Amino acid sequence: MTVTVPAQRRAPLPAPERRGRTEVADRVVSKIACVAAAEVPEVRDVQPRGLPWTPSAGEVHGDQAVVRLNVSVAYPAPLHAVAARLREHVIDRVAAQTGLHVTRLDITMTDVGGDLP
Amino acid sequence: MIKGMNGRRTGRGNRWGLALVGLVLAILGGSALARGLGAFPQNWAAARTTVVDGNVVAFFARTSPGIWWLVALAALVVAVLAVRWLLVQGRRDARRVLRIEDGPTGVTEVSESGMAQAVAADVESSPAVFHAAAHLVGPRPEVRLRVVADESAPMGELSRHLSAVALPHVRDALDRDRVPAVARVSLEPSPSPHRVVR
Repeated sequence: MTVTVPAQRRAPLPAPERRGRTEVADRVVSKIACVAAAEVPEVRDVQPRGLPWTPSAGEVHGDQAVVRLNVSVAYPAPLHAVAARLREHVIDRVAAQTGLHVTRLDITMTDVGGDLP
Repeated sequence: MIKGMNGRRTGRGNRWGLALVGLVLAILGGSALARGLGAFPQNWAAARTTVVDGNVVAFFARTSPGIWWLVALAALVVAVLAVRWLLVQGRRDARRVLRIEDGPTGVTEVSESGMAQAVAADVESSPAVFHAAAHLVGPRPEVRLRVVADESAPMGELSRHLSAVALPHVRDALDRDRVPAVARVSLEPSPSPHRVVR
């Protein structure tokens, strides 16, 4: 005689958007930040500025990110205003594309010069 | 070459150090000369006797070994000062970037040399200027300019260009009401537009 045991009920699955984990690599943040920075009109060139132990400009910690950029800015642009615009734009773009919150964006203007657009 | 604040500081340190060393050596040499000429009391330091005479030997014998510790300490202090002096000579402007903003969302820095090049290029845009070099000295930015100008161009053109174009640009860029500037202008004859055939 065989006894059929009812199949065990599966544990309810979590909501689809909570299945698995998404990690955004430092390099991705770095690249998005560079592209976004280059979209600011006064910025003529952007280079990711890594630290000695990481060549990437972005550093992701949980849902936050820190970005460091070297930029070349046209002259005579008001550098404070350019920095503020750049910060705002990069933070917006990184948030829109990765959901990460950029808590800190360090900007070094390594080169100043070239005409304003 | 116009040096930065540190260059000036090093120069001042050198002058004081050299003056001090010179003073010490002058005092020592002067006393030796005075002793040789018999200017000191003859029963204490007679001329025509060795410098390390019985009194000196007796003094060191009496105070030994404590005196040698003192001598060693003095030598160590002199050595440390000498090494520090040596290291300071290589000191360059540590601040190669100008920090124009330091907020919770990050710092903004601008490279002094990058900014200086932009200023120099801006100054050179005047037709009266042949060549310009700029230096930016922080932390409160100061501009030092060396300008080679055309001696046949009206002087007013150069000063107008500096005060109405180049320096306002610096102030706008750095967002400061006041940026002190020093310009050193040398005049040169303009190159002859015609080729000289001899």
